[in-house]
Amino acid sequence: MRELRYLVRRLLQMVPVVFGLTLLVFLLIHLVPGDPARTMLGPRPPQAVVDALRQEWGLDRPLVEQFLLFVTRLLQGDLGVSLASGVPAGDLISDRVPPTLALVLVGTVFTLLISVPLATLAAVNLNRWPDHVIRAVPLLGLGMPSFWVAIILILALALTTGWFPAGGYGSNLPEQFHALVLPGLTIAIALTPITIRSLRAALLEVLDADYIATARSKGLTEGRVLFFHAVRNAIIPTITVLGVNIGWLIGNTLIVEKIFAIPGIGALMVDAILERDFPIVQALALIFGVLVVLVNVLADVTRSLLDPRLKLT
Amino acid sequence: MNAIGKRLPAAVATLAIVGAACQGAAAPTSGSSTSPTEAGPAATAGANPTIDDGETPRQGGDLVFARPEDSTTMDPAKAVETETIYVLNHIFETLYITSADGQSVEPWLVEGEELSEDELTWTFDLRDGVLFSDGSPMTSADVKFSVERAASDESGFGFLLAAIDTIETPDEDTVVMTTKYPWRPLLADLALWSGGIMPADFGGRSEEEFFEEPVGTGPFVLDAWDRGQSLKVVRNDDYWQDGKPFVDSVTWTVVPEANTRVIQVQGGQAHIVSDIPFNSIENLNSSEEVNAQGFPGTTVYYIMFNAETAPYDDVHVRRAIAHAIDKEGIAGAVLFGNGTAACSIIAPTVTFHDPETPCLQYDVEAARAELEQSSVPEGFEARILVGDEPTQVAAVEIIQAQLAEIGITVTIDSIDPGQFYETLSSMDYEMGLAGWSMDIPDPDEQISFMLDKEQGGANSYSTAYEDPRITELLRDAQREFDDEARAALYSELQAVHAEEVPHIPVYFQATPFAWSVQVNGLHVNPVGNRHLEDVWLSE
Repeated sequence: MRELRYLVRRLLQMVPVVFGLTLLVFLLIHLVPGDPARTMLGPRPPQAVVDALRQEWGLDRPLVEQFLLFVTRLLQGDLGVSLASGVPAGDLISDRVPPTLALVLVGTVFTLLISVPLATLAAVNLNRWPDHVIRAVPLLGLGMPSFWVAIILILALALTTGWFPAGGYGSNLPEQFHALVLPGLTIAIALTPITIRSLRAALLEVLDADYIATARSKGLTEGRVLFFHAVRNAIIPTITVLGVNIGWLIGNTLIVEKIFAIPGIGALMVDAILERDFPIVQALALIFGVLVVLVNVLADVTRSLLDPRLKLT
Repeated sequence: MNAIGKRLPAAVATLAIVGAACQGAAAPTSGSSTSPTEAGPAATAGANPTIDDGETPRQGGDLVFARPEDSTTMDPAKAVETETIYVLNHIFETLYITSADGQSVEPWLVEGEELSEDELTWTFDLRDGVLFSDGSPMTSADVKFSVERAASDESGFGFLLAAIDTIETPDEDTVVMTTKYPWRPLLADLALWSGGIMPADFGGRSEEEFFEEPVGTGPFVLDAWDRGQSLKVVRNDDYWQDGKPFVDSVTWTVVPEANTRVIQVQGGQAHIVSDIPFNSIENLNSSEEVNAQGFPGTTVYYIMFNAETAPYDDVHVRRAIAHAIDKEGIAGAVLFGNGTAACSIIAPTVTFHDPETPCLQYDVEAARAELEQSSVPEGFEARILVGDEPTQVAAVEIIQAQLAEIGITVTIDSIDPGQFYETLSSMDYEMGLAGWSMDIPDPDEQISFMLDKEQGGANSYSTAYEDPRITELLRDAQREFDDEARAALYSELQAVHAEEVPHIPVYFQATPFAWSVQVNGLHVNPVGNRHLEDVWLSE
């Protein structure tokens, strides 16, 4: 019950955040120079043709009126129609949200699969060579830009060995997962340096705690102590770190999407901005906002599930 | 974005279609829509290594073609972007097409045409046995409907067909067009994609329904379109060219990142990829699995001047800048051999290009001498506008350094594609690096757009430049039906242009493609048409 009330409250808090974001994006994209009608028609058609198109799209009306119209439609569940393609924004975007979410999910799972064992290994070997190696090597991931990591992965694991496709997105689930392995790994390589360090630090603290000594004195195997007592407690701050980073990631999968030709919303956003396709930019800003807030709520809920003592307030 | 084209039939009377069709498309350097790489004439070897190797074409197979952007529409009258056009070419066909070498128009859905003595009435004999993909025969009523629609205000490029007065259909197989004045580029204009033939009145469907499932005479039929991701067409079994197309389907996939397209053709995920980085071509050709080439195109990149702004209204300033720029050096540095330095404003792949055009050569001393005679003998501060495409930005940076040599301090304004045309059309710039490519094989499309301030429709493509000698020459050329006389007019025009330098042509650029060795018969003509019905896949 308390969880439910918490969820409802967090979701309601989303409304002003998202509204503010929408207004900001609307103003920014309209204030940037550039005319979608001229961009679409190119240099040849006479100004009269361009003006007619602007009128058809309602771009000749005052900004306030355009914004009110946008909000009115939004409240009716209508995201508008893409200027560039004439397709409803909802249709255009709904196909492209799943690939981005799948990419973020695969990236997150890989991050955890890499971070948890490595951080644990480092923590139990404090100041011995495995610890030094695990602390140092992933830092390289922080220093390597994603576009470079992506290309190296493609060269090594797609072109040379043929194990994975060099970009693209399949049409069924196994193909899609196959296609997401390298992009997911690219994301994981960027995230693991942060999560490993945070998890290792937390583990070191936890391993000194009394309840670990208690667990050991009960005669539990070291593995049970580590994974059911130590990691479970130590991972909570890491979840927070991961939550923040995933929020950041949703807006930043763009580079990975572009290099691997994944038809996600990051790539759509850039194209829409370049074409000044206002309805698409606005709709995407809205969706990005909602997703980021949702991920943070999800991170809070996950922490609470892992540690019931944490109150959802 | 592209362009429009108008074409002038060369053939004077008779059915011979000789035409000098031309095409022109304006590719703003901004690169927003077109792939910025149309070929320059000199581009790399023009031969098509894949064509005509004597083997019997194999039927079947599914061709995958990776390109940087998706189509935006199925309606030829609304299409302006090259990627959209190159798909539409395979669904809707035009009465005439641009020849493989880009030098002329060829009859396509017509057997030929006849021109009246007064050069005002054109009689077209439609090709027999052409069926739409729904099985119904193409008739003169369909042609009248389609061309009138392309010429109307509904079409973004209707003004290109403005010379057409009436279209009549004396019988099912004959179309008669009259023009308001003698208009040599007509056949080339009819090769423009917007004049693609569709059933009259959309075959009884609503316009919206029709373009959901378009019906044309082309080799392929739309099968599935996942916006922003992929577009699939399948074989039209009723196609009029016997045995074609060879492949069962073509799927165009959207792969925005140029290096990823290269990797996809190497990895076998795509058979053909377009618009690859110039510096990848040599490396790709060293592989046994992949061929890569810059096909000669019609794209010229040139410096434009805002003639309403001092000191660019001073011919000595323009001449000084022309002398100060090392075009060979720029072309070599930014195109990796996939293009050449430009002299005439008309690309070498376009009819009536004059290789003898007396353009100003790189000569720093001559540049200083011109500047001395100008209104700004000590040099001045200048701004140059450029799109965000790396090749163009690199070119502008070299130009900046070279102009510094003669005392012109240049600031570069690099802007994104969404802003490019608006900035140009509002004349809010001093100098700019812009691109142009043809859509049809007749130089009139380019020349009247760039140089006819009153009638070209675009304020001399946003330069406001006007020279009475040039205006007279280009208008005479529109009405001149004798090829030799017309060539002389264009040669003179190119010479005056080189002397007055309203633009400085800098380089011609090729159109780079890579394809798997499985692909046979791929040819891209200078206008960019691909004719994938000629392509077949070996085992």
